[in-house]
Order: sequence, then structure tokens, then C-alpha cells
Amino acid sequence: MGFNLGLIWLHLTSLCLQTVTLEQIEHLHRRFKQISGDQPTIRKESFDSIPDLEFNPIRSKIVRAFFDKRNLRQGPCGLADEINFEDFLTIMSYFRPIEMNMDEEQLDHFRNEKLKFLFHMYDSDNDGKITLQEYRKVVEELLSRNPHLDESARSIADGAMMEAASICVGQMGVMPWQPAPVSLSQPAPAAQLSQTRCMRESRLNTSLRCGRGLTSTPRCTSAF
Amino acid sequence: MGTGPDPSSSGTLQPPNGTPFQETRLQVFTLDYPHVQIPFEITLWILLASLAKIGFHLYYKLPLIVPESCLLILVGLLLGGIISGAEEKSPPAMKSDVFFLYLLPPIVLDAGYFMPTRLFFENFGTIFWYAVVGTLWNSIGIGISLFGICQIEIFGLTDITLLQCLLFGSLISAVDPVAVLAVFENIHVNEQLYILVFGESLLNDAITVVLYNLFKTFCQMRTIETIDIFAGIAKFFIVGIGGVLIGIFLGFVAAFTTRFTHKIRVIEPLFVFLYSYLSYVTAEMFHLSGIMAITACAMTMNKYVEENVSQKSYTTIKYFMKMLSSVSETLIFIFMGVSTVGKNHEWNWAFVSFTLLFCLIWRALGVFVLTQIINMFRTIPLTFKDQFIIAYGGLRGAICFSLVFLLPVAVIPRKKLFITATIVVIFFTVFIQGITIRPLVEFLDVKRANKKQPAVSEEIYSRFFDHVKAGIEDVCGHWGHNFWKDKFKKFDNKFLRRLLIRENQPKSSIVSLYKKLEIKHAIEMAESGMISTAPSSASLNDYVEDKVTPLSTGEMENIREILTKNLYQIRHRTMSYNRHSLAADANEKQAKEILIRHRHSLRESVKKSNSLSRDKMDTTKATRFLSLPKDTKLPEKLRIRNKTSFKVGDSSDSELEVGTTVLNLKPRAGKILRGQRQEQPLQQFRMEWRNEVGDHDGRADRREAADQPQASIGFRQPLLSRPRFGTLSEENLTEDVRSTRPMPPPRLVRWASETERHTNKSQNNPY
Repeated sequence: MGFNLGLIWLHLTSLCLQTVTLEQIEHLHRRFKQISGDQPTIRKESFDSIPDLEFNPIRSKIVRAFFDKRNLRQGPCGLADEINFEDFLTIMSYFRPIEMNMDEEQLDHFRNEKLKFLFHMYDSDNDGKITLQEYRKVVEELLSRNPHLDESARSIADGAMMEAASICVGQMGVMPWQPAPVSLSQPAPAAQLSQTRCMRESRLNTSLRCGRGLTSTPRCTSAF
Repeated sequence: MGTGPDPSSSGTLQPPNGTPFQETRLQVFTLDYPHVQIPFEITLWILLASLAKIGFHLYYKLPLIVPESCLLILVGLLLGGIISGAEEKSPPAMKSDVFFLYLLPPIVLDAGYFMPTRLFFENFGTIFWYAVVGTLWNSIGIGISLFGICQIEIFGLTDITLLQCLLFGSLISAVDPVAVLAVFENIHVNEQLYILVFGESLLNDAITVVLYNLFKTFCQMRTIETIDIFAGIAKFFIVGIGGVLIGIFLGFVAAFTTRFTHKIRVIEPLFVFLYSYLSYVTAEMFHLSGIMAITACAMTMNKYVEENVSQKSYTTIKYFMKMLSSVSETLIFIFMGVSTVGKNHEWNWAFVSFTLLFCLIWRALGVFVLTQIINMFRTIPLTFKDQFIIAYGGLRGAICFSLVFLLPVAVIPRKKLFITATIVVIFFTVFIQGITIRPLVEFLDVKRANKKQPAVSEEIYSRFFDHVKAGIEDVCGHWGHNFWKDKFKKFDNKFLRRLLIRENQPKSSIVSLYKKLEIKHAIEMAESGMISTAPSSASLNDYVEDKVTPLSTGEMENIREILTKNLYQIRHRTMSYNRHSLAADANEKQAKEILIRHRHSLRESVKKSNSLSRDKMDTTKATRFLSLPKDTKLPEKLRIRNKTSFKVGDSSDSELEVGTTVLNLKPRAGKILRGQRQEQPLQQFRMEWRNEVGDHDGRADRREAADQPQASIGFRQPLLSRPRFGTLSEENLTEDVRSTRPMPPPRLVRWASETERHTNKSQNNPY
């Protein structure tokens, strides 16, 4: 593809993505080429060539996340048609590990970025809010699509929302629950809180150790 | 006993040459033990072993605390004691020949056949590293330190030479696959760990064989030249690689053979067993590593044979293999116990205790040091807990046992000492380590996880996020071997599959699994009685009201339960391993999920294409093959089938069945289907679960093939009701299927037309 990976690394470093090493970028570059079939950009269809992804229930959401303009920092809403390698890296950078030597502010910024990424995955209509309907859809997708669980899926989603709301405002007693969409765009109480708690407990460090495999051999440089 | 010979009865003939010849009367009952002695005893032993196994499980807690191997050894000890006490002679020691030629191969075959190949190859470097370097490290370390101990005069061991110590070290450091399997099955470690330890135990056979023979020969030679050492190193490569090559070659031959066996389905399983055993004995003939040969053969065969043989043969192979290996394992342990009792022992406190000590120390050191090195190359480093389990799980077992019995006394004058030491080490590892590894694992585990019950939303979030992680891992090729995997897959598709698989149509893995799963799923559904009697009317309407009422705690409990049961399984990389049950392998579980999802998506597409299907009805009539709406009827049919037969299509029942639709079709869709069904009871030939004997076999396969496109298409895009034809290759997925009639095999067409003729006749096809 001809562009200098070193330049990319420098560029990304300037975007506060210091924790990505040159080697990781190389590996991702190879992977990008593999997915795109040596084209400079990826489209949604390119993700069909990844066999293991088929088994994932939220596959469409994941693929969508790659093209979401909000994740790519290209705009407030909408979907890009195709992404190039830089955008690919941008998405991947949401998953880099938290380094120990960060200060509080950077840490916060980091976490917020990651949370926002996830938030955008829930928010399928790009309006910056997660409505009850969207939440229900997510729960449905996660459940094994057992048809006679549809009703239960509804109640599960509702129960989860209730819980999330009650965590933060529990002291206020029973809330008259309105079917209004729960706005979760701001560092908003319930969902954000439980999201954060959940994410702290689950290890959010999908680190980009970029598969050097067991033999760091010259195969890395073999021709594609 | 009946009447014995009666010498005084009449008829004593006196032959001419003088000796009185007593003629005996016809005996009614006779006892002729020597005639059947050998098979009789073998049968009794095996029967005893199996009865012992039953006995262990009578008290349900026993197998949890004590691994079966320990119990079996105890039984063996008991037996040995009884035999030697009763007969005053040594009980039959397990001959090394019997062990190596008959008892060991089934176990290795079973393990190799069901080895999770993907995980194995992903960790191959680590496994190889542990097996080769680790075993070398252990043998030489133990040998040298033992020699050091022997030099100390007070122990009375000065006559043991360095070479003898090295020989002993090489055989005692062999981690044993049988023992590892027996114990790990008890503690349910995740697959990754299991693969590491078990893979190591398999691969180190090459090293052990070479070292053992090497040192044995060296002990017999007077002088050792450097050329011999180099020959030894070269021998290692030859032994290992040669074994693997033999295995792969015979695996391919086996796959090729099964390509032609569709006329003689009944003996298909035999080929699998024969070829693998052949690879083992061939390798042993050349003094190559038989274990590696049989493992390679099994792993090669697995992929291709599965596609060629019928479903029933496949099941037979699986079960028979499990049975053989189970019996072998039981026998091995019992024999170990029996052989222990005897006059083969010489006790020396120093030697025995130091052997044990060094085994443990060197193993722990070795694992630790090696892991530090290999972690630099691994994507996922091994944690301390993993290292501990690997070190602690290095059990010795029957291989050391047999090898030590094989030692020539002429070369090793103090053979009995070695035997005693080996037995002590084996017993220690199997008993102490075997029993304590489980509580230790749990102890180590408990330390980390200390959560209170998470909120429902947290569960959802964490599950969601797990899926995201898995997805991103896939996208970025996290496991890092995609290059070679893709290359191999291309080569595989181009050459190997064409050659080795009968009727090779390139199907995606989903599609072929879908085929198997339709069958299994239907059977399971019928068995588990998943029938809901009333349509869930709530889902039939749109969600008119969004009113949400707060849920009681009871309901929350319910919800949690439902979540745990039904949350879409993540593609676990850390599934727990269980050897003695035929767990569905990973792909099957996932594909099952896909199956269920697919049904759901079918429903979606029916909803979407309600209006369309009216137009399509005419066209669908003309087609012989299944179109989409007919497919949606399938699960209902199967659910309501009586359990014994899966006859499809009593249209008299069909009215009731529509009412019991579990798929929650909208009423309009239901009506359409009913209408269609009356005109086109093509469902008759859907999914006949007949026995696959006889010439319906091919047809059964092909008919199932007709369903396959649904899965792959339905997964990607919501389906409109279009007729589908035959099998589709992956490449054709996005094309307009209706315009092509690509590959319905001719048989299917014939079959369909036949049944069409039958449509108006009796609805009950007697299958």
C-alpha cells in the first residue's frame, strides 16, 4: 500500500495514542489489508470475510461501530461508507489498555472514550439517547432468540432499566416510571453509573497485543 | 459333574499291544479350562474393571474427591494382594508388550481424535517448547542430581553410574498422557490449560523414546564417541518427524478410503480404527514414536472422515472410541496396582526420597523458567496460576511404569531399586497430586472472584461487552495465526478436499453444521418437550403500550434465571474440558445458536414479506424445493412429533399445529401458511429421520442439503420468500438464487418429483 507506517505512528502518537507501538500498527496494517483484499478502504461487506465473526450475536452492531461517524470522530451522527486504515486504527484504539502511568485526567478521558464507544453501540438510531426500545433490542439480540422468550426479553429489559434507574435515585422512593426515553447522553445517572461499575469490574483492557504469534519470525514481513 | 468314568463297567478293551485301555463313558459335563483360559481371564479382568467403575459411582461424592485412577490402583493393589496371598506366586505383572501394543493406543487415539485442533495449533509452539526443552531439562537435571546423590557414600549407591542415572532420569521425567487425562478430567480446567499439559504429554513421547533408547544403548556400549551424540540428536528429529509423517500419510489414506464407503456404511467405523492402529504399529516397527503417529493420524482423519461417513457411523466411531479408551485406562491402572505387589522391590530410603524430591523440584523449576522465556513470544502470557497447574499437573503414570519394567537387568543391575523408586513417584503423583489438585485449583480460583450477585443490567452489559471483545478480537486477528491458517485452508480447499471427500461441495462451516444440527436439534426438542400450547398473543400484537411496571423480586429472580440459561453463548476460549462425555464441540454450540437465531430471522422475514408471499404462492407451487415459509413450519412439526418417529406431514394434524405455533407468527402470516400448506403439502419429504441404512442414505443426505442455504443466507440478509435450491456454495450467497438452479443433485429432483406424485395419495408415509 505504500505509505509509511512510521508516519502513521507519529500521527497517531500526536492524537494521544501513545500506547500503540509500531509493531502493533504493522500487524493491524497486515490485518487491514487482509480484510480489505488489498484495497485502500474497507466497506461493510469486507467484514463478511471474517469467518469467526459470524458466530457473534451482535455482529451487525460491531460492524456498524466501525463505520459510525461518532466513533471515527468525523461528525455528530451518521455512518461512513468506507473507512481507511487510519479510521480502522482509530476504532482499534478504543481498546488499548490503560497504562499505569497516566494521570487522573487522562484516565478519566480514556474511560469516557471507551464508555462512549459502547454507548454508541447501544444507540442504534444515532440520536444520542438510548431509548427503552433500543435497550430491548439489545437484550433480544443477546438472548438466544428463543421465540417464546420474547415476552421475557421485554420484561428483562424493563427490569434492567428499572434497576439502573433505582441505583442512583433509590433514595427518592418509588419513581413514577414514564415510558419516555431515558436520556443517557450526558454523564447521566443510572445507566452511566452502572455502566461504569460494570466496566470497571469487567476488564476493559482488550489490549492490542496484536498477535505476534508464537514465533516472531520473518513471516511477518512476507508478502501479501 | 456327571458320571465319571466307570472302570468296572463292561467294555474294557484290551488292545493287542497290551496296555490296558480304559474306555470312558460319554461325559455329560466336562470342564475344560485351559482351552479358554486366556480369553476367559481377559474377559474377567475387563469385567472386573468395569464393575469397579460402577462401584465408584455408587457413592456420588467419591469420584469428586478422589480421581478414579487412584481408586483403580487401590483395587489393583487389593487384587494383587489377594492373588499373591492365595497362590503364593507373583501376580501377573503387566507385560510391557501388552501395555504398549494394546492398552496404550486406544487412549491416545481417543485423545487425538477429539483434540481441539484449533487450540492445539494455536499453542503449538508452547506445547513443543515444553515437551522438548522441558523434558530434556527434566531428564538431565534429575539424572545429574541423582548421580550427585549416589556419589555420597553413606547411601550405598555408589555403583550406579552416570549413564544409568541419566537413563533413569529420562524415563521418570516423562509426563504421562493417561494419568494427565485421568486427573484433569476431574478438575475441569479450561481447554487452554488442558491442551498445554496434555499436548506436552503427547509430544514428549518422542523425546522420551529417543532418550531412553539412546541411554540404554550407551549403557551397553563401551566407549561413546561424539558421533554417537550427534546421531542421538539426529535420531530425535527422525523419531518425531517420522512418526508424524506416518500418521499423516495413513490419515490421508483413511480419508481417501472412506470416500468410497457409501455402499458399505456398516463397516465404516472399522476403517478409522484399523488405520490408526496401523499407523501406531508401523511407527513402532521402525522404532519411531508411535504415539505421535497415532495422534497425527487421528487429527488428520478427523476432518475428512467426518464429512464422508454417515451420521450413524460417526456416532459409532465416537462411542466406540470412548469405550475402548475407557476400558484401557481402567485396565492400566488396575494392572499397575496388581503389578506393584510382588517381589520386584528393593527399598533404599535415600534413592527413593531424593528421586521424588528431584522430580518435583525440577518440574517446578523447569516450568517456571521455560514459561518466562515463552511468555515473551505468546500473545496471552501464562499467569502464575496457569504455571502452577502445569507444574503440578505433570503426572507420571503407566508409561514410566512400563519403561522401567523394560529395563534389561544385565545393563542395570539395580533394576529393582529403580522399579521401587518409579512406583513411589507414580503413586505419589497420582494419589497425592491427583487428589489435592482439585482443592488447590478451587482455592486459587476463589481468591480472585469475589463478586456479589450482579445487577441484571450489569449482567447484560458485561455479556454485551464480552461479545464486543470477541468480535474485535476476530476483526483484528488477535490470535495471530491467520496467515498460516488461511493458507492452509486455501490449500485444503483446492486439493485435499477435492481428493478426499466424496461429493465435495464447498460449504461454509455454518452450512455443514446446520445440517447436523437440524437433526440434533429436532431430536432434542422432541425429547425435551419444548412445546408451548398457546400462542403468545402478546407478541402477536405490536407493542402498543410502553407501560412499564416495576418488577417484584420474585420476577427479578426469574429474570436472572432466564438470563443465565439463555444468554447467547460467547465463543468461549476457555471452555472447560471433560473427556468422558461427548460434549458438543464448540462449533456445534455456536451453530445451534445460529439455528435458533435463524428461526427467528425466518419469522422476521415472513413478517416482512407477507404481501409478497401471496404473489409467490403460484411460483412456489411450481418449484419442487423448499421455499422459505415451508421452512418455518418445520420446527413446529418436529416439536409435536411423537418421540419415536419423525414422520412429517399429517395434514389432518396441521390445523392444530398452526394453532400451536411457537414461532409467534403474525396471524396473517399464519393464514398464509395454512393456505399454502393445504395446496402444497410438500412438507412430507422434509426431514425424514430415517435410519441411514440402505440406499436412502444418499438421499437423506441430499435432502438435508436442501436446507442448508437457509442458514447461510438467513444469517446475512433477511430473507424474502424465495425458493431455494439445493446446496449453495459460499460464493453464491449474495446472488439471486431464484434465477439459478445450480446444484440440486439429480437425486433430489427425482425424489421431490416422486413425493409430489404422492401428495395426493396417502398422507401418512410409512417410514
